[in-house]
Amino acid sequence: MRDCSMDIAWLRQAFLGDGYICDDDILLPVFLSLRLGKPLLVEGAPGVGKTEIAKVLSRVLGLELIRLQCYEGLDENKALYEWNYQRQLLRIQVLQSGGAGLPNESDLFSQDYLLMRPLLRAIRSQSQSVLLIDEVDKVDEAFEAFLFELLSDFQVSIPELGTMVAREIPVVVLTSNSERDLSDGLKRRCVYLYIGFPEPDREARIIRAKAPGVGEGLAAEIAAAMSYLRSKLNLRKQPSIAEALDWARALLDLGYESLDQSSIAQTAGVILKCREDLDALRRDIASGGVGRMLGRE
Amino acid sequence: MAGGSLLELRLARFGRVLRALGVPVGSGELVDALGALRVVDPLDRHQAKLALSAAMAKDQRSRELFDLAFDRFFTSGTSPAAGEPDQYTSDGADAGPDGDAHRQQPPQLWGEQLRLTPEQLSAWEALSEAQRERLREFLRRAGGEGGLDDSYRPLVEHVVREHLDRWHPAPPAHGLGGAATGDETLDEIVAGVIAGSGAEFDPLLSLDMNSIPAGEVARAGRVIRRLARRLATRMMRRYRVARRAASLDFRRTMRANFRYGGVPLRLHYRSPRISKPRIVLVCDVSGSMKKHAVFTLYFAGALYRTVQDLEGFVFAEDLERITPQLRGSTPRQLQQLAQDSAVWGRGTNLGRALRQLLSDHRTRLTPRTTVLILSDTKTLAAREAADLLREIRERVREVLWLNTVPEEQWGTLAAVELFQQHATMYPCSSLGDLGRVLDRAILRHRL
Repeated sequence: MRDCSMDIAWLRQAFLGDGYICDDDILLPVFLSLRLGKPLLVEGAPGVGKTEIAKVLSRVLGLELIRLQCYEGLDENKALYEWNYQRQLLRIQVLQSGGAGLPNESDLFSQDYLLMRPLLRAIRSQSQSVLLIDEVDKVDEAFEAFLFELLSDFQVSIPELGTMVAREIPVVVLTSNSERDLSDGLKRRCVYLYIGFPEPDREARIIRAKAPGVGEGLAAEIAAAMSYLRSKLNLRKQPSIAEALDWARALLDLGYESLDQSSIAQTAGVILKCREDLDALRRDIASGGVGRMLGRE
Repeated sequence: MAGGSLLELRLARFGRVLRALGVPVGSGELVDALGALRVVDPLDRHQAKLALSAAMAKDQRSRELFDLAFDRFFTSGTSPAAGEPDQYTSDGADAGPDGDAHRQQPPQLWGEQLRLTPEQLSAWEALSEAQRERLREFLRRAGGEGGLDDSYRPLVEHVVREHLDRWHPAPPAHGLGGAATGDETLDEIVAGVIAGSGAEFDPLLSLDMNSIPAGEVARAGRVIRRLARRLATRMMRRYRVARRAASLDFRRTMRANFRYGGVPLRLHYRSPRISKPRIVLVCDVSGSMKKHAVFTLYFAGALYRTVQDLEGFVFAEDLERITPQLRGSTPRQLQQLAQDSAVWGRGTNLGRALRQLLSDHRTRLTPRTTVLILSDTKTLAAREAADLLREIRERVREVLWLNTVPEEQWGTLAAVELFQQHATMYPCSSLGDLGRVLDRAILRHRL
């Protein structure tokens, strides 16, 4: 799929067609990673659409999406491959009780007993795939080192089976919440993309695209209110695009056609997820801050 | 790079600028950058910039520096630093009240005297004649025939000021260094970026905590929370995997496999023990330390949300436990706490406070505990306090001392050396220091 005829205008159109509204500052690193054949490292706050990039890519390129969700303590068994121990054990038992004696070792360590995990699946896949390695900042450093080895060679050696080389180099997207700095080695192998909170008019367009039925006026008000909340209130957790979309849908379901202080107060739980932030919003509403911003006292 | 095309050479030079600014750019990045430029429209400045930044600047901090460096490197003219406060005197006459006839005239550039701060002027005077002549020569060449045009004035001025500041070091505005590239033109760009970056960074971070204005307290709170959040996620992270190969938990495995007639079908592994940090914070709140203490306590409060095992104490003459008040307090509430508390604002007696800590809260001091002390070391009976500190040091994992006195002055305080024997001491007078110190401490000591 990574053919040379693909250009940035095509990608822009494809992303737009799939409902992913973005500017060149997002599109260009994606395009570069495809053209240079390098993994794309996406950083940004939770909910700004990092994971969505991989999903959109898989759809517009028509490739299978293989996802590896990272967590603390993730190891090669869960990410790469594992031998199906129970099945091997059962086979030994069956052969022994049937009087056939012990099986050959090579029979026990064949492809039949191999449990392929996401990374190996992406390598062994018959056709090219999109490999999403989500929240890579959560894994241990040792695993990160293993990961960048894999991402540079796209081959894995399994002692019992030999070296497996990727048939097709997958499109790799790594996401990180920047909870910690990733190692230089990993960053070196990637094209870097940072997604920040969008400008109000882009956010309004995103809302309109993702929450059909929301009117132009309401979308603009939501976007303006989000921008206000993010910049003016001293929040512990800033609401993201994902929250803005939830909010738009909630307001739509409740039949609101425009924002005012009471509708904000009623639906605050959709955008702010901790008590102190809710208190801050309540104080702001009481002092008329949001209302003034919306032009309603 | 011999034989390389102009573009490659230019890119390599740009790479050197970034490297001097501390952005990790290796040859791999340069190759990528070149590849990136080939697939975008290189005449479209915006696209070219995005392409290069995706290939060369791989975190937010690098991105900020990249943007500044790109603008300076790939534009012929430089813009003067906007909004720079007019701290420079236009000539030597009004540089200071003690100006006299022997004062050296400041150097000239394009026929005008360079504007220098009094400190820079005195640094200029302190230079040897040969050094002064070298600087004058530099300015003559920059401003003379065949030299730079007038639009470079801010840049040239900055280079001279920077040079003078090095002789008379003012406290750095932020932790940004900037290494020499060995190429004057590139050095100038680096210097320009460093000067320009000043506005991009939060000045709050470099302000002494005691001088944070009242109007900025809420914002300082936000900065602190950000620091604390980053720190807490780091602290909770297990950096080392216990063992590469997991070890089998035989008891659980046997028990789980009774039902399969003892065939070990289901395996259970020992899970690695996650050790959570346990922190005892002892904060000096005597008169001289009040504001530092408010911010540090607020920091502790923010940390408290994630690190459950945190005890906070304040002391001046006596020790007071304030853990319950830490949770969820705003800086303002902590200031209130400071006013209401019985111990705040008194004279300092660290020895007495440490004795109370040892007698009343002995159970908190375990080999897993890290003790953080925030104090300016100015205390009564320092020797006795040092002995008690040793006793505490023997019971706990680590004692970290955050000293609000700038490091240059440590030599003048006898107590510093005394306490350093039993505690690792870090300078900590601004919010930026606080973040940096704890960051470093955590990486080093694995709190």
